Amino acid sequence: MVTKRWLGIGFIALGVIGIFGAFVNDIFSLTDYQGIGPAQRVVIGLSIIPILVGASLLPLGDKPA
Amino acid sequence: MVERFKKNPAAAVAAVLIGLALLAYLGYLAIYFNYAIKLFQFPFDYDQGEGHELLDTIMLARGEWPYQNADRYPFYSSNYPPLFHVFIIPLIWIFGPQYWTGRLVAFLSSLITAGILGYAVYREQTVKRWWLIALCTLMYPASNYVYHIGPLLRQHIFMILFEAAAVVLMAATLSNEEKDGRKRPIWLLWVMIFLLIAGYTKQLAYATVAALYIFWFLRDMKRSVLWGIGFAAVTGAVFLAINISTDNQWWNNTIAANLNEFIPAQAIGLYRQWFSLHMMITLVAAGYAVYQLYFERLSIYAIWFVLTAVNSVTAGTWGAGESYFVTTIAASIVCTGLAFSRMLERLETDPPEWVNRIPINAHSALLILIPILFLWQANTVFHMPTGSEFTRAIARMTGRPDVTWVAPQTSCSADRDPEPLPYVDDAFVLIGRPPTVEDRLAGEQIAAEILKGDTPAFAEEAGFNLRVGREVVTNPTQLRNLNLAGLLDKTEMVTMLEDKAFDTVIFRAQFYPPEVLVAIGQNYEQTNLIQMNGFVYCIYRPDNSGQ
Repeated sequence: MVTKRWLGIGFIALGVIGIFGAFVNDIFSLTDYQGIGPAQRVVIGLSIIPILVGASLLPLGDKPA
Repeated sequence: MVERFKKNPAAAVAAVLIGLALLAYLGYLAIYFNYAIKLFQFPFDYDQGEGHELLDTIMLARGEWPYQNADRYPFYSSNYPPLFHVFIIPLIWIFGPQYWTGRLVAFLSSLITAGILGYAVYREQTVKRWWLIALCTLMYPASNYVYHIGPLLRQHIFMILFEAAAVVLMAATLSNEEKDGRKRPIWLLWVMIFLLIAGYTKQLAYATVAALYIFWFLRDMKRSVLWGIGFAAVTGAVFLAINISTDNQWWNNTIAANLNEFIPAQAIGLYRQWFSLHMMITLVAAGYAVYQLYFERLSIYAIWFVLTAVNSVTAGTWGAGESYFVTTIAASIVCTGLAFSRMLERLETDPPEWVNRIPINAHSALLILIPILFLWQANTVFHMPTGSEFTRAIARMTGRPDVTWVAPQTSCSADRDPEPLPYVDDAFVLIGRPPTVEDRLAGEQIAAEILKGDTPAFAEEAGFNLRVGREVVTNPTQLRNLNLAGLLDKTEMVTMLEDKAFDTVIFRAQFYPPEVLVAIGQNYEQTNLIQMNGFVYCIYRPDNSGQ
């Protein structure tokens, strides 16, 4: 059974993957665009939400998710 | 009863409000039936694409796949999975290729879905509150979006029936297993079958599949993974089998050419509209999900609501629309019913300490508040044909105009002045108003244009060729999709148009690839304009002036 803490970790991982995903094009040099573009800003902004939600779930510990 | 109400006037107020709310939603149900019956009688496309879904059904009834090579005459292929059409086949065999067959199946599936949502609320209630179950059941067809698409020959609403069935059966299965410790593999098998049917009705069911497996993973990690592997294997095997038997056209048409461009403004606009129309049930469902996230175990309904709400962003892709929110609406209805049931039960059996300190009876207040909220929700989803004095009076009473002024949509003629429509809808786009006798006559007139020539029409809608017993040529949106994906060879199509091989061309939205539109523009001339369902259809004939 998954706990609230692990659910929180899952949310945080989701957000981190989202932020990482926003830079995939840059990492693999798929575009020449320099800097953080508008779409990347949106993705990063949205990815922060699961990170915050996940962090708030960590203190709930071993309660079932 | 009267004595009871004298002793407790709050209960009397609540009863009256509940009665009014039920009346409002029954009114919406009557409006839904009226629209459906009018659509059953209308023998042409009401929503572009219906005729192509009818053609898919006809092809499947003949034992042919609708996933064809669209490079060759008749330049037709489908981008939808087959199961909705398969369910209609028996009706086609008995009654012939009629629009009402698929519309009836879709309409009935929406009513069954409403019943399933009501059942989901019912089975979680300790004390059965029939009025709340009834309001949740009636809320589904009262949604503008369900109303618009419910009785159409489109597969979307049918997919939601099986999504809802899978989710509710999954909730019942795991809850019963936890109660008595007995495993129920047969029930789980049915859940998987329902999911498979939903997915092979429309690809969008993947969000519900994901929600269901996330829920299961949270409750029982090992079993969810094992069943998930089996489910993926069966889904993949079916996919592979269809792809092999269609010579890869299944992949080309339902996947490769089905990834349309994303239009952010469309997504944002639809999110805004969905929220403003369904504000009450959305806010209550969101509150319920947040409560469960922090204070108890997450239910399948909360996960279903959140995941499908997020996935509704796909409504912003070209060709998508409001229908992509309907699964979320179904989930939010269940969450709303459960949230209100839980609050009432808590106040009856174990009220929190602070409730005893406030000067009003919280339970009575909530009993009054809930129907008020449902009445508010009834007002925000307002839609109504206003052909009678009675319905016009209701529209005026709620502060709305008694007609909608809208200009006919056209892609191939001069703009036309707005016309008054006897239909009012807070989410009115292009569908929702019941078709009229004039619309039917206009459809017959367009079909008659085909009979002036000897060939099938090169038409954007299938209904006109079907009406006069000629072969359906082209599926414009799919040709557009294939063309954008680089999967369409237009040589044969353009050559036939340059040779003026078609005696009639019928446009509604000009979705064809640019080269096709150019070939028509250079070789055909406009001869007639006919308006149907608020759209201008343009008729073209071969242009022989240069010969």
